[in-house]
Amino acid sequence: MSFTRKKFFAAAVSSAAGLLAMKGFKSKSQADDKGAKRDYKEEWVPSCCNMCGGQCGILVRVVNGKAVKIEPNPHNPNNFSNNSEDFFKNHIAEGGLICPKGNAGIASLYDPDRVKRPMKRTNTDKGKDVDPLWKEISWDEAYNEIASSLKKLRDAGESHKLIWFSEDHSFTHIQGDFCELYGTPNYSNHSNLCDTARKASFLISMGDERPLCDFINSQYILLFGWNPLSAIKWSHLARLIPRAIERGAKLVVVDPYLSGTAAKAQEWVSIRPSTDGAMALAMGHVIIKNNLHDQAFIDEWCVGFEEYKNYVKDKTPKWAEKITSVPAKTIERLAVEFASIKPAVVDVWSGPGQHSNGVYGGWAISLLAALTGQIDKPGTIVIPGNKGNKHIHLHPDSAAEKGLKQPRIDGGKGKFPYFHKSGVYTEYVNRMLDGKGPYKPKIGVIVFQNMVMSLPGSKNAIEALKKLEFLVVVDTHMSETAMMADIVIPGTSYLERYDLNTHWVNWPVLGLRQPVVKPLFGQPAEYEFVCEIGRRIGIKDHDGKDVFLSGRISKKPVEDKTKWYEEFLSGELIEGEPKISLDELKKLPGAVWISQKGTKYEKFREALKPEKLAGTVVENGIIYTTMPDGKKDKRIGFFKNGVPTRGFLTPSGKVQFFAEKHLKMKDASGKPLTPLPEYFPRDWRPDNKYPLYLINWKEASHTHTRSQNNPYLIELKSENLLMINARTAKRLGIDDGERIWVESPYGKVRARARLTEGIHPEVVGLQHGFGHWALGKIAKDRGTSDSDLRPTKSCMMSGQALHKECCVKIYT
Amino acid sequence: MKIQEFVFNIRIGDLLSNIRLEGRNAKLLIYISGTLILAGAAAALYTLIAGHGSFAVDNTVPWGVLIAAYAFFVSSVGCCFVGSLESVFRVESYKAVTTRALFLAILIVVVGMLIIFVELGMPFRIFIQYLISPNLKSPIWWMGFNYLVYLVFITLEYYAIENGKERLIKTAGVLAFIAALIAHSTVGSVFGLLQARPFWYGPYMPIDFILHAWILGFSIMLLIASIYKKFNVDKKLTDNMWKLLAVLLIVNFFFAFWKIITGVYASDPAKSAAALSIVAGPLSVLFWLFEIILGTILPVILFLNPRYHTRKWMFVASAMSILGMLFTKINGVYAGLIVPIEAIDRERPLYHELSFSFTETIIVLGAIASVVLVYAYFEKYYFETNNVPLSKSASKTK
Amino acid sequence: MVIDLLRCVGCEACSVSCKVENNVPNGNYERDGRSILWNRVITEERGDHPNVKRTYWARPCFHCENPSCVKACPVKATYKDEERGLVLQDYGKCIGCKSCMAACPYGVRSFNWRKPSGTNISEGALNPDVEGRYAGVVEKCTFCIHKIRAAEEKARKENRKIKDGEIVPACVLTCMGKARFFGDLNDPESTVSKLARTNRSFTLKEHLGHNPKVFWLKSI
Repeated sequence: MSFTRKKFFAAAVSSAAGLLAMKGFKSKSQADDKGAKRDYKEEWVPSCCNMCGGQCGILVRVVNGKAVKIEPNPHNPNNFSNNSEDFFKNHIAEGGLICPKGNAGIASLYDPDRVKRPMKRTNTDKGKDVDPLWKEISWDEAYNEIASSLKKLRDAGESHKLIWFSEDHSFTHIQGDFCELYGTPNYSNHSNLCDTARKASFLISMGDERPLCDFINSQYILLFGWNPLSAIKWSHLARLIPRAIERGAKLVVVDPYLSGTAAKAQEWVSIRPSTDGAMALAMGHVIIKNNLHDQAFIDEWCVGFEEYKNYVKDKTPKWAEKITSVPAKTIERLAVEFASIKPAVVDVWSGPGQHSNGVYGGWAISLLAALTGQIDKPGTIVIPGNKGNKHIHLHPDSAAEKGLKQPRIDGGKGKFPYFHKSGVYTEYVNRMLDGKGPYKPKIGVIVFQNMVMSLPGSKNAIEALKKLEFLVVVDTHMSETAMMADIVIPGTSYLERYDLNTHWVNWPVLGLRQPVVKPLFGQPAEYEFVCEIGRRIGIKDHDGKDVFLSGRISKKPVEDKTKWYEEFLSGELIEGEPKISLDELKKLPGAVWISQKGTKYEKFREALKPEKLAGTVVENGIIYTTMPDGKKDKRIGFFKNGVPTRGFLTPSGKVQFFAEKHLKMKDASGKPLTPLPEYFPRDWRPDNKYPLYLINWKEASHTHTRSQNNPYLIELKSENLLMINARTAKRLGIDDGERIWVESPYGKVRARARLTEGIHPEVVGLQHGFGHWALGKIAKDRGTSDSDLRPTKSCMMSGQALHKECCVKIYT
Repeated sequence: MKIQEFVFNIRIGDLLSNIRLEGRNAKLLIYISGTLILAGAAAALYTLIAGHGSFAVDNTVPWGVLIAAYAFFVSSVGCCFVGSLESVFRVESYKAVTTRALFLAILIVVVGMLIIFVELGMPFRIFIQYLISPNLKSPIWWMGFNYLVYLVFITLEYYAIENGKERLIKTAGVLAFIAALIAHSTVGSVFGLLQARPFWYGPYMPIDFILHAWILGFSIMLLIASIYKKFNVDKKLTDNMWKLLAVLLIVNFFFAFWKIITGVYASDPAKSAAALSIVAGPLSVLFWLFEIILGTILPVILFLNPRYHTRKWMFVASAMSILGMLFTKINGVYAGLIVPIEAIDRERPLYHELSFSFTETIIVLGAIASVVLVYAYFEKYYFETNNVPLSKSASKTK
Repeated sequence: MVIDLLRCVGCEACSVSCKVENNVPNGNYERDGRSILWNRVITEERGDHPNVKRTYWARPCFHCENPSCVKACPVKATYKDEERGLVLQDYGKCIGCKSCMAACPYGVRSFNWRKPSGTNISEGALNPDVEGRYAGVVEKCTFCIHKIRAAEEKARKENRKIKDGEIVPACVLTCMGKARFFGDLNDPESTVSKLARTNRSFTLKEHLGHNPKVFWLKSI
């Protein structure tokens, strides 16, 4: 057979092609090509994403009133760089970036499975696979029912028996205000499911909850159990880390799984889960042995080095090898590399954090930065200047005061030595189940939190929620948690509402989220819902003012709830760092306020200016600001050799190798704390019966348990597979793609096996978030949830939910 | 009666009422194949309306069992080759089978076209697009064209035989034979010209397809001769057909052998992985059991021992050979696609998963059933009652 | 187009951005191979634990100079836009035989297995610049032809040439690692030309002679 290969033929193809492209479809682009008028109206609205908690800047293309495309907002540093110098220099030329979830946001907005009207349960029976027999009710009915239940509870003097759980990046201030004015201490947020262990670790060592890495200036990046390149939250990291490598940095990732970040690393260190702390101690040993530590920095800015030095004396790489399975030679080499190449950055996140020994491990890791003096300098771990809108505190009335004096059900600060204000969800669940809390909660309000899927021990969460007399869930989707509710209120997508987002970059930046489209079903935004409930209960502050009606700035009643909230936000902006109104913020390029001061380094060295010292009190050499009533408020510095200095916000004002405070402290289980970052094995380790560690992780395609009904994201990956080391699988006779059982003492689930070389042989793991039994048509019955394999347990120091402490056996 | 008169006189009502008169075996055949045909037609209709979602194919393995079945069907048109032995090469003894061979060839090519029609995403467009926008570089275009020409020539030959037009028989016979060679190899070229699939790319596929057509032609005619007693072909002829079949099967074995050896030997992972998938991978059961043992070794062994030269064993041997060919086609299609295009990818399995879906299977079975039923009907009410054990031309020259 | 493997983090933002921009149908969730992605990210893993290397190959259509899909199509539904050097698909002609998919050595083509559904997106939240699709046709990356046309139109009106970097396809715009570059390879001064000339640059399956127009930059 022969082909015609004449030239004229090819020419005919191209010209015909051009014609054919034109005819056939009457698409608008074709019309546009011919210079005809566009027959659609389009505008680009700047806003902030909320597909996850990262809050990146977005530009939304709205065509004829419908959002059709989400693109990066180049003016927002959060999706470009956390370093001000890099941002100011390059952002216009390079443009912003957003992740797959951000791109897919449109489909979450227009998801047909969204809750559209308030729904009331008519089936008194609650549980998994129990049909709630929803009945659609009017908004008025919904408001009345909720407000009257809440009012009844408050009037009975039991306002503290309301528990309120919320997502932690949106409309939190107004919810916090509501809880305070209503009179319940039981207001909690998502963070304890995430990284409160890391927060505790860094609080102990350097007195800051969330120091951030200055990757772009770094020459050596050492990450323990952190996966910023695929557990994407601050999307700028996906640009910064490869860019640092391009500039010659070495990236080393210590992780049991070849995560998306480990995949980009020059070196992946496959470690046994929960043993990262031991490796860090051994590295400290090597650094000190080789005299590579920064003695000058330690002398000036650290306490307890001698005790630490003494402690790590026998923590040799050989000792660590037995614990971590990382070869002693590797530990030795990495320690020397890390201490010799500067600037270097070391960080740890939720991988090691979500084990029962996470806080100590994280502390040991954070001290590697102190040992080498790599703190708050360019290219090291930086303590961010994170100022934004001001949460203006209100004064609750006497009824509320009474409720607020009650202890939190989770025990709060008194129980957990490093309690975070986000609360301890697992503690709530356990106390609600065993009834051993200070009292039993009666009403629950859960806003955009899927407790049932997100907590370790899904069954327990269900049982606990069943104990509530009345549960209100506000969510965009009929989540598993919403299935437990008595009333479900349709929430808003982030494209339908306002929020102010203080961004997690190294200098003050604030982005605006604003309604891109009107709420699709005419539903109120969450803040409007809270406001309405507040009005209907008739909540007043200490001075008898109707706080949910009276405008923040105008001080006059503002009936329209959206307008009232706009004023609320304006007030926070004017009193906060930006000092501009909401309308002014809207007019800024990309609706982002950016402090021109930029990233500041070595802030701890700063001497406090005299004007800052006005109205402060000093206690044990520590300087505090005061509240109007004279009580001490925030600590702002300490006396360093008699000079008021910012220092580190630790009890000593310095980086702590040794936490003296711990000598007198106990954790939530009553165990005394140790003053050194000692290595303890985690509570639950593999045995003959359950020989494998089970871990989980996030991937770029999904946020927690909330995005699995997004068609775009599911098209990327239809389910989560259980990763098994190929040799382990071979030994167990498991084939790639096979459906297998994963069993722990707490339950067993089905999963599909995927064989890989990229996971530690003693470990199996999967992407978190799948395995829904509600949420939506796409998410339902897709993939595996590992929640039921775990006990509902938290870290006894920080209240961090232990998502990774689990041992299993797998079989076909 | 001429075939066109016969066809035009078929009345559905008569057909249905006739069922009652049939014997038990015939009833069974009618019910089973009738059900399969209806189910297949329903599945095909569903596919035409709802799309190809119910097929076990995807964007990584775009072609599946329907393409394999199509390849099997269009190769089965090789009956025409058997028919040509008499009309073109003047092997007089083959006169006995010519008419039926040509009839089958026409029937099968039409059903094969129906299969590809269902396989296409936008089937109705071919009537226009093939004409107004032909791509003369495309093997698929040529395949369609060549089969059309082929169909015209075998129909012409059939017409000539039935009307006893001696000169036309010869001319049409020669043309049909040439068209057959071209058409069969063109189907092979649809695979053989795809450089992206190293296991297919090269001259093997077109050549294979010619050989397969011969094998299937002989197997099918043998099968029919073994079933229908009234189709009175003498034992000498069937022995001869079987002998030729055995030779062709052995030749085919060596074709396959070298194709696989060259594949496995290759350094190109895509090529060697595909070859390995046949002999030692996911396709190996199909290959060794159906292609080699049932499809090749047993028919040859049965032939080698004259004790088995009976009608019953002839049926067994030819049926096995046909089955073997069906799996040769399935393996042939799958082997080309089973290796991911990126060749090495540890996070995914080395091979794509392959399976048949219910819809696909039922369409293929329905297609096979329709050939069986239509042929059985014509055999009984046309060939037998018209007494066409030998072709008319043969009876005339007597 | 040039894709820098060092900068690519395999996040698949490009895939989603492309889907939204080009109204690429959803609804094929039963397995990964079914999804319609004009830009599919393939992960490749090499080596044995713990010395494993994973590479992400984010693959748009390579718009080959000598495309085998164009040869394979019986009805010229897929064709070469000689003027712009693009390989395009005419949905109105495609008969759905899928031979272009079998012919593509890079696996970048997708078939509409069913009527696009399972997504709200059909309810009008579509990009008005790109036509919709229906069951039974093959589709693939166009390098955002509608953006290219719009830029050409704009440049023509302003009586100038298109600037380097003026056209930003959806995948390039969103890329998290800023790993993708798009421009005119015929212009030796363009960013892509310069990058394609560096010694890090290579193309995939060069031996097949397709001359793909997507260049890759080696990772370290």
